Amino acid sequence: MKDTIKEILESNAPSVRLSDRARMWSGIEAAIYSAHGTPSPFTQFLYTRKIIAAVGILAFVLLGGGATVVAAEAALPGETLFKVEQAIEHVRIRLATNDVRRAQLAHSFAEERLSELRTIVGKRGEGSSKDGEDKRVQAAVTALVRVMEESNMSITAREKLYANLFSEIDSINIDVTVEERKNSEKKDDRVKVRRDETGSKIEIKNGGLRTLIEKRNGEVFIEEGRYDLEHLDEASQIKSNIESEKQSEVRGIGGRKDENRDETLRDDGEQGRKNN
Amino acid sequence: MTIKKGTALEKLVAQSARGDSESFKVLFDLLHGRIFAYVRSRTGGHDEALDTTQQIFIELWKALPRFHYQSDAAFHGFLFTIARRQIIGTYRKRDTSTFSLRDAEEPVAEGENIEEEDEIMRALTVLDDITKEIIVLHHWSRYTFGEIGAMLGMMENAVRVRHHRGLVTLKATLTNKEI
Repeated sequence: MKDTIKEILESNAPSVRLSDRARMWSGIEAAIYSAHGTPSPFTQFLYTRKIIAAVGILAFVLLGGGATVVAAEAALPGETLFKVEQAIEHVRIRLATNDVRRAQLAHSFAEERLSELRTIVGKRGEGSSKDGEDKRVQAAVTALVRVMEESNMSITAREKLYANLFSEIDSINIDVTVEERKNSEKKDDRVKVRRDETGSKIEIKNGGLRTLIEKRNGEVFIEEGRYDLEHLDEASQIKSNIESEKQSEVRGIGGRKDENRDETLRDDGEQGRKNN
Repeated sequence: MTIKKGTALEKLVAQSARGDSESFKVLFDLLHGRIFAYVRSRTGGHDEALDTTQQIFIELWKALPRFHYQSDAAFHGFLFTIARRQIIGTYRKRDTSTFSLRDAEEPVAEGENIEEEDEIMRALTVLDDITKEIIVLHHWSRYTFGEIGAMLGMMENAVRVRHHRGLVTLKATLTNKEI
């Protein structure tokens, strides 16, 4: 033994290189700003409330509320026991051991909300007043949106659930408020570009707007505005937020596109003068 | 690395809990070495330990708003609870049934040239989990016996006894290996 055991141990303590430390912090910083945001001073209050709720529910179950909890699981939005069901689910999500499990739980609860919405929609016209029925639909929609928005489930899963939700709302033809929808769209600020197999169609999704660019018989059609299309040599480049006009049609390639646009504008101007 | 006792840590924790990322950065600078050393003793490799340490601090950031500061020791206990959970989570993701270092490291061929740090790591696997944790927390993460006792829920004297026995076992193991 060249030294005392303590010296050997301490001289071999694992250490972090400066570059590794910077890399770690950069990952932490990205995570705390993008995934979960900066906690506000109000968060402390919310967490306290959550803890109180969790302890309350636990005490409730231990003190013989088990039957009520079972009944709550079958409760539908708008019913008194539904809040107990929501609280239990909330606690289960909070107690999940990792983010993957949390997302899975949230997803299964969201699907349950969707199923409950369908049940409520299916029961419409079975006795209660129209106003009461509409309120229950609204409660079911709000509950579904809440579980989605408060969770860390993937954007793809959320989009599918929203699609199902809107299809359900469309089918019943009543006014429903989906307040959190805007928040959801804000979160997905990525621009998605998808090409079909032949390469003749390009679909662009940006902040909830969908634009289809299609090439037919050598001509390029843009279904919705906001994008300008430029052909440079053999490559196509798409620039966003250049044009806001809708149903713009771009013919030909290269400079011809601009000529057409100028011509269209000139024609519009002439038409306007004629109208005047 | 030394952490100022008393109000300094309390202030950093409180400000971080309110969402002050600058304070959290200082907290990270102060503590990442301790956490990394601990994680490194429980995981298979350097890079994996870095990733796990990073995740621990992300989890700490999320958990801080619901932590009520009582003492430095309580905070370190809270932090190491997060660390332990994260280490277990890392191994669950790898579908490993146990997170013992014995399983994480590959057997070493006779006569292979081994770095001293690796040899220490292997020697630590001779110890039971609690003793290994005490040795690592004291000599690598630089916690006092009192702080370790608070973290592990043990009396300080019991920690000292375990530590002493652990060193004797380690010495015997490393002497046989002739470092």
